[in-house]
Amino acid sequence: MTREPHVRLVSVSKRLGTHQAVDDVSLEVPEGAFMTLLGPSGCGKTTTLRMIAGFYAPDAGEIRIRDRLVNEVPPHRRNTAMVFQEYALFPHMTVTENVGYGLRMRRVPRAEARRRIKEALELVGLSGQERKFPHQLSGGQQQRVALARALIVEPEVLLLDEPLSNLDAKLRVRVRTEIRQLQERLGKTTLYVTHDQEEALAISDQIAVMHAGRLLQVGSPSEIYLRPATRFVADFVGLANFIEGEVLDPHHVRVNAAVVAVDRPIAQHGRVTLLVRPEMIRLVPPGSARVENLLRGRVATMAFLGSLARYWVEADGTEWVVDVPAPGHEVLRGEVALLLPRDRLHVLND
Amino acid sequence: MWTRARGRVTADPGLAVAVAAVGALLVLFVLYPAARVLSYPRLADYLAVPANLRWLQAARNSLMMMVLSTLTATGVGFLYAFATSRRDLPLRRFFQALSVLPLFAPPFMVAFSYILMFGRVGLVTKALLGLDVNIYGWQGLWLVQTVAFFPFATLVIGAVLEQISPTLEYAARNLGATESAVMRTVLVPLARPGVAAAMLVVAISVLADFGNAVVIAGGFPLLATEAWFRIEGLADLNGAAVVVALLIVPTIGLFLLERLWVGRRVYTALTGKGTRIEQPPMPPAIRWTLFGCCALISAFVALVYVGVLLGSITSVWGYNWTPTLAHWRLGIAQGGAQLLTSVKIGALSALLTSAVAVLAAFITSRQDLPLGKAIDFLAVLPGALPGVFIGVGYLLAFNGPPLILVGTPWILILALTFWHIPLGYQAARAQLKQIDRSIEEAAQNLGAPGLRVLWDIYLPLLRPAFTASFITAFIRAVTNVSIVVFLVTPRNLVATYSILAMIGGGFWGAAAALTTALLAITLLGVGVARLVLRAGLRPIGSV
Amino acid sequence: MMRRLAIGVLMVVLLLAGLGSGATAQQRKVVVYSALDSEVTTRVVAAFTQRTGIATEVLTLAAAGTLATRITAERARPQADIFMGGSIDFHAPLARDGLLLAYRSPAANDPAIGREFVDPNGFWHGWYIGALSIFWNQERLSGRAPATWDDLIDPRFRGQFVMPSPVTTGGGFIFVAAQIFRLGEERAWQWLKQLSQNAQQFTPTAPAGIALVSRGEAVVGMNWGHDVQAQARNQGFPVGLVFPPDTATEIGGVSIIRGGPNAELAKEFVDFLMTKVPQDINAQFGLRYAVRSDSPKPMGMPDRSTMRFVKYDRQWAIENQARIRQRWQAEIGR
Repeated sequence: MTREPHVRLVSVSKRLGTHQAVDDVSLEVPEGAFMTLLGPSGCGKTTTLRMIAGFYAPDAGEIRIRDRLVNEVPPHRRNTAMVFQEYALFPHMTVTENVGYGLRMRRVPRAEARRRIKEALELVGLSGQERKFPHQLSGGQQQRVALARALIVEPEVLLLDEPLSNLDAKLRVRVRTEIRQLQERLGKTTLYVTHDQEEALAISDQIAVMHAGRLLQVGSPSEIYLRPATRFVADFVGLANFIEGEVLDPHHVRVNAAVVAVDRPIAQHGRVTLLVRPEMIRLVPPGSARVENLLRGRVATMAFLGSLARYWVEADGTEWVVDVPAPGHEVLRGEVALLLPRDRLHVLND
Repeated sequence: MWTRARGRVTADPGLAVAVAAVGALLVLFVLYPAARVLSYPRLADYLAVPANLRWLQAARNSLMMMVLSTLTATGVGFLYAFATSRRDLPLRRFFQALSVLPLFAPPFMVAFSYILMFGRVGLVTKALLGLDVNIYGWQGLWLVQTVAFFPFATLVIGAVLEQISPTLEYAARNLGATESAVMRTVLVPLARPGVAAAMLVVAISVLADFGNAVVIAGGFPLLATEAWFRIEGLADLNGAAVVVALLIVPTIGLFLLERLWVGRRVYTALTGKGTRIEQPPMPPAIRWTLFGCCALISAFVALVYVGVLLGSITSVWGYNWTPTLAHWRLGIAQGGAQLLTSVKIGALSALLTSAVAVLAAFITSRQDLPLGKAIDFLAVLPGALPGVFIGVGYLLAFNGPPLILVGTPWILILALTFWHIPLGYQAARAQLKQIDRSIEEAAQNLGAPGLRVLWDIYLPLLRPAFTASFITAFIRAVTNVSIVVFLVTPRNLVATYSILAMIGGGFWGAAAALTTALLAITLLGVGVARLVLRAGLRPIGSV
Repeated sequence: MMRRLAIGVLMVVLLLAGLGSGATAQQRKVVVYSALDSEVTTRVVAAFTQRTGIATEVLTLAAAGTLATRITAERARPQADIFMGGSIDFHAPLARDGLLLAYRSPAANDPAIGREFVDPNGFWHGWYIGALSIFWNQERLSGRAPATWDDLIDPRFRGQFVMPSPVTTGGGFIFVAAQIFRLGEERAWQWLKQLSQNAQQFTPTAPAGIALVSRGEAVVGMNWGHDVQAQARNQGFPVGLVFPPDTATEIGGVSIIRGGPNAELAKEFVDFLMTKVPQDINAQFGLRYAVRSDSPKPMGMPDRSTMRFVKYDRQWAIENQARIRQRWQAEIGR
């Protein structure tokens, strides 16, 4: 993908009061991409999004949209429609008036506006609700009004600030799928802010993980999940077992008493941290023939989660989390052995 | 939240013009008259104050009345607020409604009615009880101010009591507290900021009270009325300016105290979210004692209205009790047209008040605009200025360049407008805080510049504040006397001025008739305003 | 949205349409500020228009002090031509401040008008007289009615006497000055101290005292006789009235405001007020004595020739006004 970036942040910093909200962030969003800013609350992801929308001007750095420097352009002169966490629907306007507001500001002729409102409402499946006020709609419907209101102005960039956080769990999954489908159909460059790693993995082309105002890693969902750059990223995007060890040679690491073999050659020397996700470890009977990367341990506790069974296993002086998929009725107790697959072990940078 | 103020304002010229306009209006119509009053007398005039025994007496009297009336009005107000905050008080809704009624009445009404009821020829004192009572003087004024101002205390304290969660009472009872211990250890301490706020509100009102004082205080000089006597009796503008300058010292002090100290504490008390569970019921003995107190207090309030109504249809009060309509004929003949003028001036000034207040609140609610702090100060300042100060200030300020308004109705309209700005301003500020900032951002994000956001988003959402501000300002403008006595123009005489003259001249029947008519017209105006503002300002979508 | 704007604009326009604007300078019209009651005012200006054909615009505010303050305040752009009514004690300070136009009406040379009623400098013309009286509530009075000033210090009236404050009213001041002319300064202050023992209150405005006695709030009072007659006796209250010997008067004035819109016509108005018709009207409907000796006495009031006046030096009174008021506050303290 060698397309020119659509939105580009160059060394952007922003201080809110005494708090350094965003610290030297550089980011490129390709044309038509679905980019998610992921991180815990207070990490600066929303501040970054709001700077792109124009609600804050950056203290330092540049924000460019299609090569145009927009640092000092007020929000109403940027074409960056936003969907807010609380939807921010105008409570005194009907669905039609809410959705049509951006067109009014752009002095779109009435007939055309009417046609586009109709289309937008059809797009989000809200035909027939035109005359209702926001408080007469369900949460999911309000969310779609907000989306239609943003999409109708044909924004250059679509900004979504935790748009699903006010929906219940089931609806969240359905709406995020709809958003993703809509985005792919329209090909809109989209920036999406969330603190929910599962949502980020499910919906994005690219994920940018932020922490304490800094950008830690940008990559595709699988890169972020399988090859996180740092321990923080690894921990944030999913359950993780970390193994501290000493590098013996590019393919072997000493962990306490055992030696663990790794497929991908290790560039570092000295102490490293290995990441292994719970679902990658296999539990095998303790009496198995001695093979490479096998650790003996004991089941401490177990939780049955339906599609998988989660075990906490004590082995080699630490506690391991191990997920067993499709467990059925089988329950393991007592002595077990952990098998660490050498092709899935990932060495962290820090 | 925004920084880089310069960038924003220049990017939005409409907003810059609005800031400049509101700032200029407030400077011209608030700051300039105030400065004019203080600078009008020469230094020698101020230095001569200690030699003026009448003024020293007036200052002493004003402070004494402030202390006495504040204590009793707050005490009665607390009792009333506490009783009506209990859900199981008999006739609770009725008592609540009755205590709000005095807010619609002209400020001299209590004094006037109590002369009719409790004076030497009073219905209660002479006709019913056969007593010989002198109500004129400080004792009468004390009673009148207590009745006139306790509703303010009730409103403030009641709002705080409402926020106290009944859970706390249950918790205290659960831990072994008796009824009186709950009251002593939980309710009173929690209500204390409210009581303090109420005392300051009442103290400012008592100090500035012109209407009751001018009617009943008699030979008891007070600062609030002295300025008018200087002008009415001696045509002495200079003396009037000195007196109102004296009056402003304590009111500004109380006002600052209220803003800086109590304001913050009360508001934090008000934001707490209480779970609405039922209060524990009161034991019958306490319930009926409170009921008795409320009944007694309500009787004093009701007498105000009964007195004026009866006064308007009694031939010669105290001497000839046969009913007559002669006072109504005289009152309407002399004051009918003035009632209409009152309504026009009141409506126009209330409209201006609400418009300027909402615009000012919109400006100061964004931290990024320059002059925000200054505009905020000027928008709340009139709350600290007594009406007589504003009246004298406008008289001095607008009888020469840069703006000559004396002799036109505008001087009265504008004085009323800017005196009432704090009412609408604070209502609008409070409501703006309720509106989520993201709604504004959504509008900007969709392409609306600053003033467009005000017009499309905030104005419709601020309609309750606008309506409340309009109605309050209208009531206060129509019933005002403290500014009216200085600025009324002969071409636009308003009803309150004539009523005051009638009371002074002994035409009590006509005064009572005109007061009743004014009260009716005020309530009618409020009703019409509610209808119009609901129907006329409904947002109309243009798509 | 346009409708919202339109409604707002419409409301403002409607309200404005209903309000009178400032004075409009028009041909053949005199603008009069009147401190008299509206009945007398209306009748006097109607007679003026009938006589001269000159239209009038009248603004009535029965409070001379307030009108005088207004004239002072309007100095930059005078709104009126004539200040009619109110004691000349209100007109003289305006003249001193340069707000009045000097004019000597030829009509004032009529032999029926005493010379003392016209300002030597021509700033004001007196056209009626009010006299101080004693009055009482007949229901509450026990014993003989008071007939002289000295009856007022009778101990039986302790706490039952009301009069206008000499500090805030012209009437109260004239009363105090009259006592000084009657008794001499030092004896007068002794006498006033005794009087103050009886006082229930010194009312800050003059009419307030009449209402107090009418309602029986006080038993006896001192006030302008014509006001007592109009506001108490003619209203049906049980009030008695007497003009004691050595009483004093106010001269009711008329003056021309300098820089007013129609100065020439204003002179005709002053000429008119010096004639018999308006003074008769004032006597009949306002119960005030005319300055003309050929006008009838007010109905229900004693003949002016039966009244005895103290030798009142108006010039001295005005010059010593500040000092007397100061001394009153220091020695009487109310």
